[in-house]
Amino acid sequence: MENDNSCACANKAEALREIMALNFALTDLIQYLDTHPNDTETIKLYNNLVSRYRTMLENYQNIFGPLIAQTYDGSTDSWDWVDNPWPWNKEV
Amino acid sequence: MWQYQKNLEYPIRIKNPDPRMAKLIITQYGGGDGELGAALRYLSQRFTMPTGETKGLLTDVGTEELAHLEMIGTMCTQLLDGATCKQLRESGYDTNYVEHGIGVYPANAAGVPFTASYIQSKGDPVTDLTENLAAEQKAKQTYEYLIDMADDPDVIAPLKFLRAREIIHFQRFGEALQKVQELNGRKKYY
Repeated sequence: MENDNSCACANKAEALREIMALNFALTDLIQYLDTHPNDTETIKLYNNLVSRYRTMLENYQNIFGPLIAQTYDGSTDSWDWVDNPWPWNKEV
Repeated sequence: MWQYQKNLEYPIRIKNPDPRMAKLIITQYGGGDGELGAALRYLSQRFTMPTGETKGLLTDVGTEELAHLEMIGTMCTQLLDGATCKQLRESGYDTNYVEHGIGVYPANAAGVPFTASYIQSKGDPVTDLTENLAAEQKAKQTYEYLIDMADDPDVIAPLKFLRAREIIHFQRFGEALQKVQELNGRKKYY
């Protein structure tokens, strides 16, 4: 499961922050495109960010465990999904 | 259906307990202009939206409101984490404590429980989108009042993020309303 070079940032908090930032960009663009569905420049940007997001999510989950249970197949001896912390906990 | 993602929409790490602020911020969990009402309002109204664009927008904004609900619950939890009984008494949180401990419960700042009468779903897109414009403005106003009452940067940053989202959603609902009205103008009934 451990993979040394799959994520550029070794720090979990930093990696999570990058995913959150990119995820938020997608959230905002989705709503913009809902009311501007013919804005092809923004569609291009959206598609580009989605492929970056997909790679980043996969790398993160390989190293630090699941963010989305339905996209994670790394559990072996125990069910990683229930590992702490949960998002409302202060620890990383 | 929905998928849960195990992270917040915006990072929250509140180092110092402040039960007074928790007592105020809970209003965005279960108050009249709060995130629970927002999510329920949009996710209920979407069933009678007329176009793919408006169905999409209400689904997507309603979904984001659930992420905001999680942020508010997180803020309240962290603001109460480590608070002493003395702090709870002196901050006025004791009235919440005797009912819910430090549990997160959907009520407003005065303790009035959440009610569906805070929202409307009227079956007409112009009516519903107009309600939503007002709802976003009222939520933005509440965040401004909460920011006025806060002094901890750890608390102010997420409140500012949430305030900014209300502005964006107001903009998106305005665009949607304009498109629905143009569509209505093209339909001729004789």
